[in-house]
Amino acid sequence: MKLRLFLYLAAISVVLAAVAAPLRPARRPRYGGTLRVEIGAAVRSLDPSVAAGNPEEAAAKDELDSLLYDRRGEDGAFVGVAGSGAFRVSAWEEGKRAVFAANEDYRAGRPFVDSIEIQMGRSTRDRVLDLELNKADFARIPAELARQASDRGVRVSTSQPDELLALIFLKGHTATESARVREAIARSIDRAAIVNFILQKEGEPAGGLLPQWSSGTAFLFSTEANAHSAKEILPQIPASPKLVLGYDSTDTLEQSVAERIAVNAKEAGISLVLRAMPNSEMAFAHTGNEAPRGDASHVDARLIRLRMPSPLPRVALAAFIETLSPLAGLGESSLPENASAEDIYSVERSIIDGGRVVPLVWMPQVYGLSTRVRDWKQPAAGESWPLADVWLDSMTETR
Amino acid sequence: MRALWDKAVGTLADKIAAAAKPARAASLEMKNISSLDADSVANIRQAVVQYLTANRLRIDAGASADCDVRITLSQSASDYVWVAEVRRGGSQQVVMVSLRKGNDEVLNGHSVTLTVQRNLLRTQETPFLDFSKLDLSGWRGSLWRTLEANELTGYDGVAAPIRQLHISRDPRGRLSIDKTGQVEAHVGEIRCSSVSGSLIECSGPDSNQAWLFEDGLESPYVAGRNYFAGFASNSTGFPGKLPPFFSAATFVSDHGSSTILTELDGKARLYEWSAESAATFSGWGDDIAPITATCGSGWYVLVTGTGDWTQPDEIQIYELRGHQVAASGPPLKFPGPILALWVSEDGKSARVVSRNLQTGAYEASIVSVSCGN
Repeated sequence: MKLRLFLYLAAISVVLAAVAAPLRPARRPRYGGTLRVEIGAAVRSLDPSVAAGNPEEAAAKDELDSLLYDRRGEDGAFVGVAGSGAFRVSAWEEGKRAVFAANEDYRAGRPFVDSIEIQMGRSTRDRVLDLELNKADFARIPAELARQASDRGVRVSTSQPDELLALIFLKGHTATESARVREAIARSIDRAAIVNFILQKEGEPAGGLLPQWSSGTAFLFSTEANAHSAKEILPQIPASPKLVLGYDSTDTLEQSVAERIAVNAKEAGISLVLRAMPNSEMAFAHTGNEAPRGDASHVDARLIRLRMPSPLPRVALAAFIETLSPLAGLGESSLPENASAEDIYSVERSIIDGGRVVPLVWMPQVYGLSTRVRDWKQPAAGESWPLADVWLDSMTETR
Repeated sequence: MRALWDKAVGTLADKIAAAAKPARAASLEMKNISSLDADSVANIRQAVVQYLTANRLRIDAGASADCDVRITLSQSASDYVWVAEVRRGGSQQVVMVSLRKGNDEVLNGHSVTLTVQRNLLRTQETPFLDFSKLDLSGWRGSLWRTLEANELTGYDGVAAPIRQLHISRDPRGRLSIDKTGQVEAHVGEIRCSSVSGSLIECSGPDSNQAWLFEDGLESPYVAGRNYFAGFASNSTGFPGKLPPFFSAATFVSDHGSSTILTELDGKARLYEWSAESAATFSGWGDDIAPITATCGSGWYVLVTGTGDWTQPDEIQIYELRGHQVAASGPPLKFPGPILALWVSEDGKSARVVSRNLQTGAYEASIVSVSCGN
């Protein structure tokens, strides 16, 4: 899929040199202009009480609502009225397009841009192309496409790696009850290959549940593949195991990683059958609810993406445990408010040593920006897009 | 070594010694994957060795070592994390300490002797718009007056609230204190001033008080924005209104005055006796301030750099010669954007508020011009 996308890009691309227009001498923000945003999800409703249809829509809706609402309640849900935030809705076409106008009376000051125009349902390919052609000012780019987009002249902003892709051995499945089976698969996985070839070096191997920049202790977890020792474990397993590994059918990155894991496992003598799961079946993992009956229960292991809700290691680890516990059946873990670095490491270590959660890679959030966007600051883990703070340089050339 | 570090090293050494028991000699390997510099690492290593020795664990790289200690100086988002892996026999134990990363080191040794030199006075975590420092004779400390977007804090620590109807995302404020101690502060459209003693009163939230500049020039502030509406003819004395601007530098001579404005289109323009600009200067930032140099009789202006608030900044001094300007000496670099630049009351220095992008802290500095360096 990824290869096809870039063959397509290459085929239609005329040599569009990245006209990185000279930045206008300016320091203080300027007011005015319309920020053109493209998102992949088709958001059906901005009402916080209306549930999104899938995780992608939920994430996009959360970002849009953060522009419209002034604050969140203790549970993280938006409270108050739409328009109490930095922007107000001035046009709305369900699932297609929205225009947000600057709120002149916003308590933290009027945003610098006059409005934001949001195009929804734009494919990754279209978003990258529109950034390249300067038809968009802001769009998310999958981490695995960051390098190519940059090579093609798109201005790319990359966060610290804050999204974990992990392999979960689901609880209550006979095939994964053997710790030796789980260990053999975990040892066989070549994380470096996933980072170098699938993620195009835009990420880093993960051995723990927190990245090094957040916890400072990730270096204590091994990320090395050891196919030899994985093979050595095999004779200790009574029957040759055959496991089903599930991944999100709409997620090309998960598919590529699942295929790589299957190849690694096969080299270690373990047979993994891959199964693409519809988005609706995957959603339960994000809510922490029980797995729905049906096909999802036929999967022994699955891939999961976990986005850090905070840069603070204790907060992030607690959120991950809450999500993972119903899936992997993790034991009780105590992370008090004043947990020390040693306490956090100890909890993290016990989960990893349990072998039901196998961290694979850490991925950054990647955004494409037009050259006229100024004062863009990467949101930290758990923060929303700071679009009220950016301004547009009207002197920067656009194509 | 700082006291805080010393305590952390002592705690780590205690933990290592406990994990190593009953070993009496250990090999020690130290690795730094944090932002600490080589000197700090050397100091920490030396302190670790001393503490371990005090804990009856001798450091010995030779064959007599019956335990291996590997210390990694790491860091998290907010803390230094110092981790020790203690290997003895076939077992391994991990112990660690963490301590908050401070920014106090930036307070040391930052007075740079350059054409334009900076004296960093104070840092704080929250944003502020302007400041004033009062040094008392016979007392080692200083008293501070700080202007923030919503309050003016006096030398006595008492804050006068500032209520604005129109909030700006890039608030501008200036604090002036004359020789008699009279205070005048502006934040956007609001003006605060001394009424009696240390009591400060501010105008109402719906007021629009003009700001006073050099040579009696005055301009209203544009509500909810970050710039001034422009000098009117009753202020300049010549027909026509000058355009909106971010900052102004006025030079007064026996023959009249000249004013440079940094305008909204990113250019700086010189105005002499009319609303038509006499010269245009490109490549300047938005904040400028006139300054007096003791070694020259010319007109000098401090000019901030270009870019935006995600980038480092600089101050360059220019000499105004007729309708042209010439840069003098190298620019003075700042580790983040300059948010405010105001000339002091005597015209010989300027107050600078900047943000350090490495630490995230806001910094108050005085810049002045030195000659011959």
